[in-house]
Amino acid sequence: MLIEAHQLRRTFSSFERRQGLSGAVRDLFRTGGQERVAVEGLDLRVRPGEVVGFIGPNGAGKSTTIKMMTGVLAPSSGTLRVGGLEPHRQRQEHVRRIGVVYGQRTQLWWDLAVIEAFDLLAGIFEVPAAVYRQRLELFDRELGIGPLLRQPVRELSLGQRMRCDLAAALIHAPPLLFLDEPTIGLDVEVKRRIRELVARLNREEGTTVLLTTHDLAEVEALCPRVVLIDHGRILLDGSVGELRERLGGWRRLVVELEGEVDPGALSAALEGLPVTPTLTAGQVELRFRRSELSAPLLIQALSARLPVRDLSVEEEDIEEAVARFYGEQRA
Amino acid sequence: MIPTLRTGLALGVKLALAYRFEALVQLLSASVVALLSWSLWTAVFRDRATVAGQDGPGMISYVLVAWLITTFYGSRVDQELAARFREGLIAVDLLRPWDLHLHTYARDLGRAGVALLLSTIPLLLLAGSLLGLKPPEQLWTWPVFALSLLLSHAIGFGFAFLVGLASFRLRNAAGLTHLKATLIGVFSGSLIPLDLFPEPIRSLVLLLPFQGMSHTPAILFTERLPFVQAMGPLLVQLLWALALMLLGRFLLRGALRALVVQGG
Amino acid sequence: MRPSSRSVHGPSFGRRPAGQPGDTFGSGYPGPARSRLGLWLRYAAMRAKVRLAYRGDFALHALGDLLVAGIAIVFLVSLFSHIPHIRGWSFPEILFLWGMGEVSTGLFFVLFQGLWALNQQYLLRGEMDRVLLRPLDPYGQIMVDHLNLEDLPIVLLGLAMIGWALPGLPAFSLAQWLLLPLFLLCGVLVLAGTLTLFSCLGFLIHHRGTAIGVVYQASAFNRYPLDIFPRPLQRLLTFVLPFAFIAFFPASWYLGRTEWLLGAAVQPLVGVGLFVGARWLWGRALRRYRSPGS
Repeated sequence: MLIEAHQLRRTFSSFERRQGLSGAVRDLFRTGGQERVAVEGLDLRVRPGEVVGFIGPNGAGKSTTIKMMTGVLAPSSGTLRVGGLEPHRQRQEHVRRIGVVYGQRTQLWWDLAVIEAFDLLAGIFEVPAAVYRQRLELFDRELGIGPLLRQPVRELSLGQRMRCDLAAALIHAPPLLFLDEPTIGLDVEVKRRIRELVARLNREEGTTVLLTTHDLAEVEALCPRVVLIDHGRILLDGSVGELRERLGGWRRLVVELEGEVDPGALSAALEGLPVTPTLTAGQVELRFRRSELSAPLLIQALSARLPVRDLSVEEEDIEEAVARFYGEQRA
Repeated sequence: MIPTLRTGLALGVKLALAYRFEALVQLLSASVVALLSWSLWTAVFRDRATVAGQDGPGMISYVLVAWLITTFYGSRVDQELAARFREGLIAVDLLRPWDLHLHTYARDLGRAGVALLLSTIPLLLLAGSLLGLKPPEQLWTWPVFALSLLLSHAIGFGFAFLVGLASFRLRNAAGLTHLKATLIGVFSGSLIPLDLFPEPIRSLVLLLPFQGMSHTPAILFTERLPFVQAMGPLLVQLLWALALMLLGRFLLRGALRALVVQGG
Repeated sequence: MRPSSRSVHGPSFGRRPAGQPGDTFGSGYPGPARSRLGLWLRYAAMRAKVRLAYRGDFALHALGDLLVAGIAIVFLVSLFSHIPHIRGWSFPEILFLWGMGEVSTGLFFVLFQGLWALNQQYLLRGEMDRVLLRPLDPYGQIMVDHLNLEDLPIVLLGLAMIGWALPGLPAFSLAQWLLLPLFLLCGVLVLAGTLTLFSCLGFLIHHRGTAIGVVYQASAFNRYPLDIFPRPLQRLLTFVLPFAFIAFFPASWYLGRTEWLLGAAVQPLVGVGLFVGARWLWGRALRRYRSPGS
C-alpha cells in the first residue's frame, strides 16, 4: 500500500470574534473554542499506480485530507502512512517523494521568472542536471511552457500559471502526485493538456495520483477509482461505474406527444410502473431506475395508450446524481 | 460637503474599530517609547536643572505630549493612497459621488477620533499618573489644545496626502514614506524637542509646517505662552493646514488628469 | 501523441546543442548543490538578485531606512550640544553603544525580516503550505524569502557611528577588537531569538495583527545605558526581554565599566541559547499550523 489511512480524524477549533475592544482583548487570550470536525474517521488505502478521484461538496473535508497526506496538517488522531512514512512527522523526507498542485494558489515565487523558480526547485529537490533538462523538455512538449519560462510568475494568466505550477510540482519526478482542484477556472484546452499529462505520467511512469475536483468529467476522464466524501466521511469508494450504480442509475425518458397530453390516459398507461412523470407543454418526462424498469417495456406501455410522436432515453448526468445523492444523505 | 464629511467620518470610525488589535499594538508601542524617553530625560535632569532653557517637569511634559499625540495625527493616508493608485482602486473611488480629497480627510479624521479615544487619551492619562505629565493649570488651555490637535491632524493629513500623490507620480511608495517619517521625526518635535536645535536652525525649523504637528500642541499643553501669545503658533498652524489642504486638492486634480491620460 | 520535434521550434530551444547539462531553455541550473549551505546560498542569491533587479526601488528604500535611522543621530548630537554627559555617559560613549546596537539591528533586519511576514502572509494567507511542501527548513525558507539587503546601509551607519566614537574613547585591546564581531553577531541572535519566541504566538492566536512590532519597539532600550532606567525596568531588560544583552552589556566592557562584566561575558551564550531555544519552540509551534481554507 502506498497510502494507508486508518480512522484519520482532524478537528479545528473555531470561535466567533467577540465584539468591542474588551472582546478583542479577551479573544487574544482565548485558547479553547468550538470543535469543528473536518475529517471524521477516514479509512483509505491506495495502491501504487492508482488514480483516485476525491469528490464532494465544498467543506466536505477533501482539502483537509490532502493536506494531512502531504504533511502540511497534523492529524488530530488516527494513523496515516504514506510510502511507509508519517507525513507530518517525517515531513522533509516525505515531501521529496510527492508533488502537490493547488488550483487556488501558486506555489511558485511571485517575483521570480518561471525558469528561475524551476532552477531553484530543482536545486532544492536535488534533481540531476540531465534529468532536469529531460523534464523541462517533457513539460514543454506536453504543456507548452517553453515560451513562458522567462516571464515572472506574477505576469502569467491563470492557465499559464497552472501549467507552470504543475510542471514545478513534477520537476523531481515524484512517484505520488496530489492535485487539489487543479483545473478550477481553466479553459477546455488547458484542462485537456493537464489531464493528458497526468494520464501519461500515470501510464508511463506509474505515478500514483490523488485528485480532488468538482469537475466530474475530469473524474470520468482520469480516475478509475472514485471516493465520494462528505462531512469528513467516505460515502462511497469504487469505480465510476459503481458510482453511477450506487447513485441510483437513474434514466430519463422524454416523450413528445401528438396534441395535448391527457393526464388520465397517462396515469392509466403508467399504472403499476415504478416511474415518476413530469408534464410540460406537449412533453412528458419520465424518471426511472435502470434496475427497476427496462426502457423498452416503458415505451411499449406508453405507445399502447398515447399518441407518441418522438422519444429519447438519457442517462442521468453524474453531476446531478451526485448533487441529489448529497441531498438524500443530508436529509 | 456635509454628507461627504459625515459618510467619510463614519467610514473612518468603522475601519478604525475593525482594526482594534492594531490599536492595541499602537498603544503598547507608543507607551514603550514614552517610557524610554521619560527615562532618558529623567536621567538627564538628575544632574542639572535646565536644558535648552527648559526645566525638568516642563521638558518631560513636552516630550511626552509631543510623542503621545503622534498616535492621533499619525496618518497612513500616504500609504493607503499610494496603494489605491497602484492597485487601480482609485478608479472605483472616482465613481463614488463624493469629493475624494474631502472624503479622505473625513475618513482619516474618523480614524484619528477613534485613536484619540482608544490610544491618545488613555496614554496621556497614564503618563499623567505614572510619568509625571503635568496637566494644564489654566482652563483656557484645554479648548486651545483641542483646536491645536485638530490642526495638527490637518497638517499631518495634508502632508501625508501630498506624499501619497507623490508616490503615485514617482511610482515609489516605500522610499517616500520613509522620507516622510524622517521629516516628521526630525522637524515635528515628536522625537526631538525643537528647543534642542541650535539657534539659526531652530528658528528655521519653526517656520516649517512640521512643527505644527507636535511642537505647537506640546507648548500649548505645557502652557509656555500666555493666552494672547499662544494665538501666534495657533495661527501659523492654521495657515499651514489650509495651505497643505489646498495644495493637496490642486495636485490631486493634476494626478487624476495624469491617471486618465496614462490609463493608470 | 504529438511529434517531439515540435520542441525545436520553441522560442528558447536550439540555441546550443543539447546534451550539456543545464543549458536547455537558457537555464543556468548547475545541478544539485554540493552541500546544504551551497543550496541556501543559491536560494539567497536568487532572492537578492530579484531585489536588486528593481534598482531604483532598492536605492530609495535603502535611503529611506537610512534616513529614519539617522533621526537618532540628529537627536544625540542636539542633546549633547546642551549637556556634557547623561549620568556620567559621554557623547562618544553613547555613540559607541548606539552604533553597536545599530549594527546588530541592521543585520537583524537584513536576515530576519521574514518574522514580520509570518502572520499575515504565511499563517493567514496560507503560504506556509508552499513552504511545508519543500524539503528544506521552513523557518529558513521564510527568512530567505524576505532577505532584505536594503537594510545593509544601516549596518554601515552603525559602523560609522562606532568609528566616529572611537577618537573619544580609550584605546581597545587586541582581544576587544577580535571579540567585537562576535558580540555584534550574538546581539543579532538575542534580538532574533526574542522576536522568534514572540512570533510563535501567531500559531496560537489567529489574528492578522502581530505583536512582534511592540517587542521590537522595546528593543530600542538596548541603545541606552542600563543605569538610567528604574530598577524594575533594568531587571526586565536583563531577565525578561533581555535586550540589554544586544549591545549594552558588551559595550560597557569596551567603555571600561566593570559593573556589567558578567553580562558581557555571557552575552554570546545568551544569544546562541535564546536563538536555539526559540527556534526549537518555533518548530513545535509549527505543528499547530492550521492551513486556511481546509
